Amino acid sequence: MTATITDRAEMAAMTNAAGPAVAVHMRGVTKAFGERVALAGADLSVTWGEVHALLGENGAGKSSLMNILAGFYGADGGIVEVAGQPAAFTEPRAASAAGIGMIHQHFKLVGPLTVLENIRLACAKRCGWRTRDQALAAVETMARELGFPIKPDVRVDQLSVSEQQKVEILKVLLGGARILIMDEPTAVLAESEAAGMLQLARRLADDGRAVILITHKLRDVSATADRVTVMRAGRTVVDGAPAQGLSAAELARAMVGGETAVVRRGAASSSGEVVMELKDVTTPAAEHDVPLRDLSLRLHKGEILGIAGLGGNGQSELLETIIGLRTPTQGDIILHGETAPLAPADRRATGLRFVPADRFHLGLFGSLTLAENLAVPPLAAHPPAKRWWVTQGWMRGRAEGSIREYEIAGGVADTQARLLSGGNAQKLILAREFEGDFSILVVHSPVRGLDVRAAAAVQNRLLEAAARGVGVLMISEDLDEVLALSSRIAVLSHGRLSAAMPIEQTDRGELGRLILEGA
Amino acid sequence: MSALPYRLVLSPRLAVPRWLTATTLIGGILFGVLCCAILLIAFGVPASDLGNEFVLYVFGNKAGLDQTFTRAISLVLVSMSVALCLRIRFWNIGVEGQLWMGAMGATAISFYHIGPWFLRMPLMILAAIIGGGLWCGIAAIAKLKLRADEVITTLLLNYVAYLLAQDLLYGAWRNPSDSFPVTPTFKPYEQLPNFPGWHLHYGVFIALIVTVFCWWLCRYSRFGLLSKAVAENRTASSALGIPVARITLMTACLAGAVSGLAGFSITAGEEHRLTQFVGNDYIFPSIAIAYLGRANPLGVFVAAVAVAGLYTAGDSLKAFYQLPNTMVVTMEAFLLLTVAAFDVFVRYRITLHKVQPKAVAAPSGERAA
Repeated sequence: MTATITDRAEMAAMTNAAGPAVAVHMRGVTKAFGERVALAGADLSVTWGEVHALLGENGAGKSSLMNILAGFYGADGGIVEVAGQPAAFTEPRAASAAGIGMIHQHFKLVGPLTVLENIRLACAKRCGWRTRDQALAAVETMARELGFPIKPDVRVDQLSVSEQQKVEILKVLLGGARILIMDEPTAVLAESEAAGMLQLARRLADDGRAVILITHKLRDVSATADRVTVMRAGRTVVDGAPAQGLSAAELARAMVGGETAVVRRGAASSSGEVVMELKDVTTPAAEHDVPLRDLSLRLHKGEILGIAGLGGNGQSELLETIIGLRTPTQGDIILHGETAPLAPADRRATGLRFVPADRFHLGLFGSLTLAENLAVPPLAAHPPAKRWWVTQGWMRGRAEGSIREYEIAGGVADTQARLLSGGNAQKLILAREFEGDFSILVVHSPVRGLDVRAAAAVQNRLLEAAARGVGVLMISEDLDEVLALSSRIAVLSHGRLSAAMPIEQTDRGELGRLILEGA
Repeated sequence: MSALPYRLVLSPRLAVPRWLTATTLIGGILFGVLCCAILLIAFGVPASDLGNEFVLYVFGNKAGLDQTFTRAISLVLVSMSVALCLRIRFWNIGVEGQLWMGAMGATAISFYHIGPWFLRMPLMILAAIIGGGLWCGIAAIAKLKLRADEVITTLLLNYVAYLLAQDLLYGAWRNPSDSFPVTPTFKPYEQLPNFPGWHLHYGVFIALIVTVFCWWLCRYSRFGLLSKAVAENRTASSALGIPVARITLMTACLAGAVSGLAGFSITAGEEHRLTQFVGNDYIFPSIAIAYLGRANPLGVFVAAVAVAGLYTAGDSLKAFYQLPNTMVVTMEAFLLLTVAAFDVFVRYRITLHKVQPKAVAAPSGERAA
C-alpha cells in the first residue's frame, strides 16, 4: 500500500509538470514575538500532489510557520515562495488569493448562521455567486465530489465537530485553495471519523493539491503522509524525508530530541477501599447535552479507572456531575463512604480534584496571571491559605516552584494564562490541581492536543498519583491512552456506562463493539 | 500591497509592567485634554485663556480648588461603587438610586431624632450604608435568584428611589415651617464640619478612607483575587470552590453602601438637609470615571478629581464664553475615548518594521538577508 502512495504522489507531481513541481518553498524563516523566538531558521518544501506531514512538539514553531504561509503575520527573515513565486503575504486575503487555505483547529465559522450562509459569506464574491441557488448548486457539487453528505440549511452550531470541519474544508476549497494547511485535523475527532478525515486529505492530494498536515499523532503520519518534516525549537530537523523511511521511534526521537519518554502502567490496585461511588446517577435532559442514564461506578484507592468512548457520549456531563456543577435528578454520589456534599467547594474539600477537557472553559482564568491562577484554590479553600494580606510576591513565590517543577514554558509567573500554548496550559492546570493532598482525581482527555513528551509527562503524573493511593478516573476519547494507563476499563455510550472490566480481561474487539453500540 | 516602506506590527505583550499602565493612562488623559483644547479653540475660546481656565481657575485659586474638591467627594464615592462592581462584571447603573437611599437613610435618622446627639452621626452613616447597600443588594439577589439582568434592575431602581424621595419631600418630610419640598435643616451635630473658611467638608475623609479600603480590598485581600476570578469565568470559579453567589452579593452590597455614603456626604456636608437635587446627574460620570480609572481604586480617585476639575472649568467656560453645558459632557467623552484608545499600548508591543522588497526571487537554497 505504501508503494502505491508514493507512485501516486509522483504521478501527481508529473501531471503538474507544466508548472513548477514545488508548491511551497520556505527557507531559513525566522520570527520572534518580542523576546520569544518562535522560528529560528525553519525550512519546508512541499510538492503538488503530496500529503506532507509537519510534526513537532507544542511550541516547536509549526503553527507560527503556517501562520506566516497563510499571511496571518509576516516573517522577520527568510524566503517564502509559493508555486515558484515570492510570497511574503502581508494579509490572509493575499495568501488565500494565491491559493492557500488553512483549516484551523478552532474553526472560523459563524455559529448562528447556516452551512450555506457561512460558505456564501466566505466565498460568494470570489466565486461570483449572485443567488442562493447558484451557491447551493456549487456547494452540493463540491460536496458530492468529495463524497460527504452535507445539510446546507442547518445552523453550524448544531453540527458535530467533524461536520463543522467538513464545512470548513468545503469553504476553503470553494475559495479556490490549492494548498491546504490542516492544523491537527484529527485531534478533535473520534477514531473512526479521524480515519475518514485522513482519507479525505489523501484524496485532496491525489487530485493534485498540496496538503500540509500539522499533527502530533505519529500514526497519522505513517497512515497518510508521503513525506514528513519535523520541527524542534523553531528549526527544521527533518526536512521532507519520505514518510515510509522513518519508524515511529525515529520520528519521536527527532521531535523530542532525546530519549522518548516512556509511559509505564502502574500495578493494578487490589486494595478494596472505594473512594468514590456513583449509584444509578441520572441527569436531566437538556439541549445539546447527553444526559447520564442510571450510571454506576466504583473507583478504588490507587487505581486508574479508564472511561472509554467516542466524544459527545456524556463525558463532559459525567465530569461536571462528579465535581458538583450538575445536580443529578436521581442517584447518589458517594465520596469516601459518605454522600457527597452539594457545593463544588465542599466536594473539593473532601479531596476531589479535576482536570477538564476544555482548558479555558472550566480550567483556567485566561486574563489572570499564572501566579494568580495557581493561588485561586488555596485562597478559596476553608480555611484559606491567606486572608487579609495577599501579595503578588507571595503568589509569585509559590508559583515559581510549580513553573519549574512542571516545566511550564512560554511564560513567567506574571504572564497571563491565555497566552500559554495548549500543552503549557495543561501543565498549569496539573500544577494547580496536584498541589496539596487529594484522594480522587477526575481527568478528561488529559493529553488532547499535547505533543509526545508533554503527553508522557502528564501520563506519568497520573501514574504517580495512582501509585500514591489516589483514585484516578480517566475519561478519554483516545482508546490507546485508556488501554495504556488504566487498570480497569468501562465504556461510556449514550450516557450509559458499561460494567468495568480489568485490563487483563479486555478484548479490543469487544471494547470497539461497546463503544460503537453501547452496553 | 502597502505603498509605505514601513509597517506597524502589533504583538501581544506577555507581561505588562505597572509603570506602563500608569504612563498610558496619563498619556491618554493628556492627549484627551489636547483634543478638548482644540475643540474649545474651535468654539472661540482664545488659546491663551485655556491655561487660565484649565489650570489656574481649577487648581490655582482657592475658590476653584474648593469647588473641585467638594465635587470630587461624591464623584469619588459613586465611581468607586461602579468600579467595585465592574471588577466582578456586575454593571451598576444604579448609583443614583443608591445615593438617594443613602441620603434618605441619613435624613431619616435626623428627621425622627433617633439616638442621642453624640450617636447621631454614626447612626446616620450606618443608615446611609444600609440604605445604599440594600438598594444594590436587591439587584444582586434578583440576578442570582431570578437571573434578572442587573443593567435593567439597577437602572430602574434609580427611579424607584427618586420617586420615593419625591414622595417623602412632598409628603411626610416636607418642611413644616415654609412648605418647601425640603426637610428641616440638620442640627449642627448632624452636619459634617467644614474646613474653616472653605465649603470643603470632612466628607473628604470618607472619600479617602473608602479609597484606601477599596485599594486594599482589590489589591491585597483574598477577596480581590477571587473576585477577579469570578469576573473572568463564573463556571470555572464555582468548579474550583469559589463562593460565586456570595462574592457577587457582597460586592454589590459594598458598592451600594459606598454610593449610599455619597448620599450621606452630600446631605450632611453640602446641603445640610434632603433636597430634590441631592442625587442628580451621577450615572454617566460614575461609569466614565470608573472606566477612566480602569476600575482601580487609586486610578478612580485620580480620575474623579480630574473630572471634578473639568466640571469646575466647565462652569467658568459657561459663565465667561456662553458655551453650552453639553460642552463639558463632550470633553468628558473625549477623555474617555482617548484613554480607551491608548489601551492598545498596554496590550500590544508596537514595532516599526521595514517592509522587505518583494521582488527578490532568490534562487532556492540561497538565504535572504
